[in-house]
Amino acid sequence: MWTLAQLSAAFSQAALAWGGAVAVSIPIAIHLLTRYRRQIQAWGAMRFLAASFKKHRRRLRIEQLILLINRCLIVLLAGLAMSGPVLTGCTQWIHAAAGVSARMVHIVIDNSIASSATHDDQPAIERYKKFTNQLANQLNSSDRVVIWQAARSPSGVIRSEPLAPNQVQQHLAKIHHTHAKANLHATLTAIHHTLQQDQHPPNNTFIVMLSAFTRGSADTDRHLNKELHVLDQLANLFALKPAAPGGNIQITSITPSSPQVLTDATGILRTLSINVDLKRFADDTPGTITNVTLTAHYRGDPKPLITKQAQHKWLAGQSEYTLRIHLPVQALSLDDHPSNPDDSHATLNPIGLTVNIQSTAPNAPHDVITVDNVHRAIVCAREGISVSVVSDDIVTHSRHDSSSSAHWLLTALSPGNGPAPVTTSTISPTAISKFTLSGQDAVIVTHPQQLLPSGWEALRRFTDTGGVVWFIMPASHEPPLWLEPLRDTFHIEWHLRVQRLEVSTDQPTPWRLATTNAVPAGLEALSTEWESLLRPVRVYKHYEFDRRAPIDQLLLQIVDGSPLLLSASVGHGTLLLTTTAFDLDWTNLPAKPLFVPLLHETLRTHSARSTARWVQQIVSGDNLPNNHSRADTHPWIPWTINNTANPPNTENDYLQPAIQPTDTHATHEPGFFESSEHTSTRWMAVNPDTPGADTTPIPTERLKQWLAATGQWKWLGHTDAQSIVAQKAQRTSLGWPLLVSVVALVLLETCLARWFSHAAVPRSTTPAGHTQQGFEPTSFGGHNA
Amino acid sequence: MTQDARHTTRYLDGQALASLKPLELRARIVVDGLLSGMHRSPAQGVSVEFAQHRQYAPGDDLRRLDWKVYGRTDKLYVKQQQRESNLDVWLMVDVSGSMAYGSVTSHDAHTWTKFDHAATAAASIAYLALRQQDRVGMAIFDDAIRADARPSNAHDHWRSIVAALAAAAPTRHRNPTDHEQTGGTTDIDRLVDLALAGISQRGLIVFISDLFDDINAIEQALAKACHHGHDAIILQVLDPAERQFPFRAPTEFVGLEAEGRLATSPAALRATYLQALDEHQRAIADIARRFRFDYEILDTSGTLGPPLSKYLARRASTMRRGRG
Repeated sequence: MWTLAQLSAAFSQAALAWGGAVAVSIPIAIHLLTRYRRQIQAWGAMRFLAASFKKHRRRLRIEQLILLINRCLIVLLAGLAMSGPVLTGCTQWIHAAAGVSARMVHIVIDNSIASSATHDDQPAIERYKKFTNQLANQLNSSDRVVIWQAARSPSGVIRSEPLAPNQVQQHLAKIHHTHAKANLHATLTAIHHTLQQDQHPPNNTFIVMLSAFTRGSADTDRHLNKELHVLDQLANLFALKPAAPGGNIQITSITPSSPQVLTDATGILRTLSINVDLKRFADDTPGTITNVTLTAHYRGDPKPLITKQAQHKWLAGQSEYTLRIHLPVQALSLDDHPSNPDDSHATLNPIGLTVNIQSTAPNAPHDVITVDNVHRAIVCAREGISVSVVSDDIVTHSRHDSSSSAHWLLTALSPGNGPAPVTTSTISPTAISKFTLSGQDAVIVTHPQQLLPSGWEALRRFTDTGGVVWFIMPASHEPPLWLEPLRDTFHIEWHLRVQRLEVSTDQPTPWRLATTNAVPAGLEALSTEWESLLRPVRVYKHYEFDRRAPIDQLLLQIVDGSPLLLSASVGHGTLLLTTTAFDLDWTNLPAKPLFVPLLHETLRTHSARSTARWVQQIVSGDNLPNNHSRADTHPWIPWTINNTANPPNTENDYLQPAIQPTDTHATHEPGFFESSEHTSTRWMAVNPDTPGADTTPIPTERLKQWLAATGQWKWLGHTDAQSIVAQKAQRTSLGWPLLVSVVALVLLETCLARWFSHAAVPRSTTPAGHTQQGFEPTSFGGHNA
Repeated sequence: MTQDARHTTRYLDGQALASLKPLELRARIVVDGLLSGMHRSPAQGVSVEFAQHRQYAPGDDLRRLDWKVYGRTDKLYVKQQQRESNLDVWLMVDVSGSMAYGSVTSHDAHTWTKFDHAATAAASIAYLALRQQDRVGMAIFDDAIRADARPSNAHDHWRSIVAALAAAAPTRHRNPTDHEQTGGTTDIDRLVDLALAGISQRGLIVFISDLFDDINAIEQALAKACHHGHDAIILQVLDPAERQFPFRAPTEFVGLEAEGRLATSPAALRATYLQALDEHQRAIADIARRFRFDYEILDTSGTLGPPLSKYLARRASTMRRGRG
């Protein structure tokens, strides 16, 4: 039984509906009044009138009843039409008969990383699904629902086909939170374009946005597109009122000190430093303890190589912290993982570093998002690097010529008799070719003036493929004419003054190295002793470098600012130049403690840079690297080790036809991936888009201002799903059919009245004599009461 | 018809006479107007003794000029004869309640009822008959004879007839819805019985009534008149509203002969009503034709000329049959 309130809610203008219902009494009243307030007419020919009435009494009553009902219906339907009825059942029939969708509901589900935030042990994404299901249950079979996924995706904005309400639940089952950031801008823009092409009636189109509206999900600093300003003219806008966000602690990044680890190193580098950047949002209370666990896995091996733990206790107001964890390089030894001789990158062994955090705090909730508590990085472990020294000294002269640059280099690169991280070899300058350089990581050229054109070309190809070429100034007084072929080969404008600077014997103080500069990148391992290593070095001769020439990195510098060791990127490799000779007449560097670590770290760093191009750090939602397709990508560490709650969903969640159901969604699901393309292989560490997990709430006024750029949004509670369509159902076009019915009934009434002779106008049968002068035309009613 | 005649016959219209209150005056004007429009005297061809001379008037028969007087006085006079007539004319005037209906009004708001029209017609016929030396009797009736006048051709008999008609006019009901004040019903059969009982000589009976009675009763009444050898003229008086039934608004009709009330939508009944009325008129016409009586409808908005002409023609026919 309907209550009065329910009946009133079924009309947009309930007063008009009730007015129409009351107005039904008007024709009834008129009918009754005409019965009791008729014109009285004395009549002589009553005999014939009575006979006529007796003959048609029953028909007259039926006619009057039909007319009365018709007139009541006209008044009633006119009132109903103007009141905007919400007869959803009727609209369903009407639209089903017409074969069109009655209402189009666009639901934007923010399935970004922010939607994994839990409140009362329920992720936000589940609340969104529940709300969507409730909304779908209120729709009719003729209505359609389009579900938009607001998480950033390399495939663009993801939307479903228009779904019947009973298909919504099935579709929702395939939607999970992602690890990417939300992109509400792109989603709203895509909806706007869709609505412009759809041309669905605006009053029957709805946009419902389900998002947490935190700083991570809504970028309110970026204004919405101007074209969205008319969005509210295309649809009715609703947004779910955001719940109070909780605190969140996440790993922003992990950074190994080097992307390459030489496991056989016996030198000074015995540890790998890993910086773990922690951040917390919407919570600055003290006492929260974050336990950090670092695990290293070799590719495809579930058994960890090493596990290290650390802890951090958050201070009051502290929101960021960088934790440094040291891993012994020996622990990353790959004795149990012999290199595959068939693998072209056998010497590169990717090791996955996985860092987990787990926090405990006296106040809950302190960490509502857990998917950002895992972060990954990849380092490549190698037993050592191969370096060739290109010098004619060793080949043509005595190997024991201890004064040559080559001798100093070979000695420094392999200082002892034990296993060395660097394997050395010598090549004659005239023998340099693609084959002699094969398998080398770096080439040190001490006599560039002896290189043949084919040698220059081989060096160029070597740097293009990631090799390191280091030029040492020859200890001769000849002009450096080899600089011209260097510039032509490597297309780098390096210029040296031909006039070398020479310290005269009467000058008591040779040049010193500048010690005030910061430790160059890649030589951080020497940072603790950097100044003490530089101080004893003296330079007696060197070439002055044109400082206007391009330099990527300045590694060593004389106190007057002249570069002594510099580098530039060429192709995938690196070009190094020393402006002095490794000769004791030129500098005492080869005899000082700096020389060995400088060589090792410089070669390790720059060879590692070439190694780093095989390793990719990707944020969830990013595109894959060039020339790598999804079909070639597969995870290379079991998912259980990745400590992710859910394995990658191999079903086709995303409706773009370009993605095959069998693809793994490397850029959507965090983890370690290996991608093979032809002869090259890359390793990728995919991590959550951590800025998207910023749970800092946006001030309400700021959020309203941001949304207002698209029109007027109405805020909804989590139980208001019914009110969206229930309120708007009044705007269905049922009023027009009713108005048409009214017009039809009016026409019917006119026809019926004429048919029943109730509205017939009597023909004028006034005789001519009536118009005689002095008399009115026949006027009737001479004996009216 | 001359221009003067057309001017005069204008006054034969009963409506025009409505503004003339005295019935006597109305009747005189009607008859004089009628006669002045004829080329021949109504007494033409009847053998009578000399009565008087009168000045010739256009339209008089030249054969009746008195040439002797013309020779003596050089003026044209026609000879008028006083003939003797043996025709009895009976006027039967209906004064039932339905005769009180009238829908035609003049500028002075005087309502011209059917009885007004019937009385004027009766007085006119009486006047005309008395001028022709016929004996005129009259009965005013509804369901009984309310007033009567014995047949006579005395000089002042016409005034007594007019007085009876004026006295017998239906009462103008102030509240026609009151059943107690509505008029009596028409009972023409009973009337004829009563009237024929007092008539010993055959004559011409002129029925002036709306004839809102049962058709069988009408037939029986006319059959009795025919059986007694009487000739008859049936003048049915009807109001234009009764003939057209132009009402549209819901109306409560109140019968003038105590038929009660009837609340209805008149537009819905109009067609059926007119059909019933037409059938009734056709039935009367059939009966009249069967008994060789004249039947004429007197519309209260029409003129009185035709019925009077009908009377004169019928009188001549009756006279011929009487001599034959």
